[in-house]
Amino acid sequence: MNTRRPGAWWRRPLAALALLAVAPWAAAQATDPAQLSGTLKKVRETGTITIGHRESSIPFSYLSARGEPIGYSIDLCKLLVEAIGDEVGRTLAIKWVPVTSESRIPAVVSGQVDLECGSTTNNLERQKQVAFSPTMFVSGTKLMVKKGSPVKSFRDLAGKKVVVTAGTTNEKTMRELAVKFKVDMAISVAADHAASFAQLQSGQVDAFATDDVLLYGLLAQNKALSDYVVTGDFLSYDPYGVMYRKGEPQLARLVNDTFHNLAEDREIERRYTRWFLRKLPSGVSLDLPMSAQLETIIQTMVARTE
Amino acid sequence: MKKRLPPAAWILIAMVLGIIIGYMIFTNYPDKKAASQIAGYISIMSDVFLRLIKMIIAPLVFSTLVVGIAHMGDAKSVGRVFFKALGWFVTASLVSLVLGLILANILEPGKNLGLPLPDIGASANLATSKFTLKDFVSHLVPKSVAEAMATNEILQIVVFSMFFGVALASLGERAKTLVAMIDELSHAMLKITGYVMKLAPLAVMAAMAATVAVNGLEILAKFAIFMGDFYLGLFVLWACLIGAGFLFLGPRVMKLLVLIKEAFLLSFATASSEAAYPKILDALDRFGVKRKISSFVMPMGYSFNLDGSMMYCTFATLFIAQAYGIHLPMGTQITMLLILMLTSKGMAGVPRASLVVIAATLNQFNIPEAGLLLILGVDTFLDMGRSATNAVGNSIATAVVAKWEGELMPEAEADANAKLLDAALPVPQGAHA
Repeated sequence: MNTRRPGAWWRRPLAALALLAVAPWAAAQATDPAQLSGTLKKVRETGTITIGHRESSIPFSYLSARGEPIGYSIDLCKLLVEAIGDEVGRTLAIKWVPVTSESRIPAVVSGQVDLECGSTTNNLERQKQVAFSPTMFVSGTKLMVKKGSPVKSFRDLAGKKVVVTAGTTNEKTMRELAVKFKVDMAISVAADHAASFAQLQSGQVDAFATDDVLLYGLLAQNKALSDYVVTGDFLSYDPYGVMYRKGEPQLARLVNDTFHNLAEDREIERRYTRWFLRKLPSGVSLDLPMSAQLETIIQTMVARTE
Repeated sequence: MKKRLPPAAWILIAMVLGIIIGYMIFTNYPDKKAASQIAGYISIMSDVFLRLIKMIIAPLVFSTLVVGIAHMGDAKSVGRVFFKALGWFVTASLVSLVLGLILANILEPGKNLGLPLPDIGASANLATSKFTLKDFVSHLVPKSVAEAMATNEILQIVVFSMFFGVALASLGERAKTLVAMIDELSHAMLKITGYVMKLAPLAVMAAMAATVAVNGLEILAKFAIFMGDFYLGLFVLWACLIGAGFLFLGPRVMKLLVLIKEAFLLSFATASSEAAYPKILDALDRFGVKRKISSFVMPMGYSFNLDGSMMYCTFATLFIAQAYGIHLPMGTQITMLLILMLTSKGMAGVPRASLVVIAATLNQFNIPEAGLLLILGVDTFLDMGRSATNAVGNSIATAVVAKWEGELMPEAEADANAKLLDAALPVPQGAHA
């Protein structure tokens, strides 16, 4: 009566199980154009991706002598665009749109730009409006002092003078530190970074506090690296990331995967060397080695289990 | 032959030398770019060593495990060893997590921290891995033997080797040649380990020098409380592990510690527990653990028994909460511990993976993730302690499982065996033992 071969009873469940095992893998491949959504769908249809760039955020995102956007963030974004092109299955043309610190977030939210590639600090406040790539740079407040100065950390500023540039977050940081750690320092405010640096040069103040990238930039421009020292610790931390629109799981996964791959291929490190350790097109070199924080962050990108 | 220093002494000397050289570079080159460039060149030496070790691991795990399982005979004893090992791993993980939690609560390393804190709203945006069954399965089950070996996915290699070993055992006589061949392969791999280990002191010196040249030693003073407390915690954890080892092995556990000292120093200096794998396997041979146990328990331990990393997970999470003045009730802390019990199993011996797990935990419990930026700067120094602890934990785990299974040779036999190994090692074409 039973015509089925013995042992056949398990076949059906096993086939179902096999299907179950394959299903998540199939879902992970989103290259099917019909399944694309949001930004990816848009760039697939138009063949163009819009990148918001800065005009003078050296060396992250600025204009070259020929007026083309260049820099560390721009390099990483171009690699990201390549990955997006692979995902949607067509070569993408890049449309460049300049943005400022005020316009960058609305530009991303409104869809005016698809990626913002500048020097934008990733914080929870902004995460309510936009999404961020993994951290590509850690900036922060540091102190610059004359070589041989007794000031080695912010604690040594007691009874000394420190200059900050008006309207910067560094000013806020220094005022908070002075209160929190009861360091009795005199904080003077200069109109711009050049004026702050001049105060340090003339000996009016003992230290100048601002973002470390800017400090290294000033030293490079003034060819004064051998006369000044930037102290080691961050007094505040600003992790930078590439911005894109919030609520796009496909794009988010692609951005994270791309950074994972770039970290694994040591591409981030190479781009870092190019923009922070080698000569910039202008002929100066920032000579800013990678911070321990960024180095570890890149290692964790590789470590990500998947 | 002239009197020679034991290898561990060489490594210790190399370590001290490395610190001195590194510190000299750090102080003589205030220009950080020059210091990091020099460190880059120095670290080529340790990179070479670590690459060579990685080269050995896949064939070593494969050959020793296949032979081990083929000799174990039946699938039943494989299963028994598996569950005994797992039982130990789970207990050790729990103890490590609890210890981190208790110490962080008693010592309160994050309270009154004299350091500027990252803004509470900043986001380090570390890639966080949620523990998913899918990820776990893809870590466990190979889709290609070559890929598993090429990417050094230890668990996948273990799975394949188990299949292979069981198959060879069931083929019996017909696979005799293959078993013998793979056995010879394992001897060859251990021989290569012997050659590569000759570079160990050089690698240790380079690794220490490069780390110190870039970071300096002042940073240790700044984070003195946090790091001091963590290392104190590690000492307590070692004491617990050794105590547990004592319960099972008796005073012999001390002998084991002496045998693994080289491996311990190595994983400390290179901040890689993987670097010590072949050396620990060799040390366990000498201790009298039969290969069929060590070849099986050790690679599993590298995924499931990372005691140092586990302790760091609770310790660092609580440290950050304390630094921001966030009070976590005991109930929350226990929930966190239980979640970590599961999520930390995704770490699978990947360097820095514990940070990814910590980032996920912070997000889950609404502790400012920005705090990570604070500890990322000193992670290199903490990673050293974690890796060395993982190495100790794994060797004790393996020895205990062996004892439990009745596969630990008596001391006299083990010593005789060790002599045999020594006799065979320096001779280039020695008769294999």
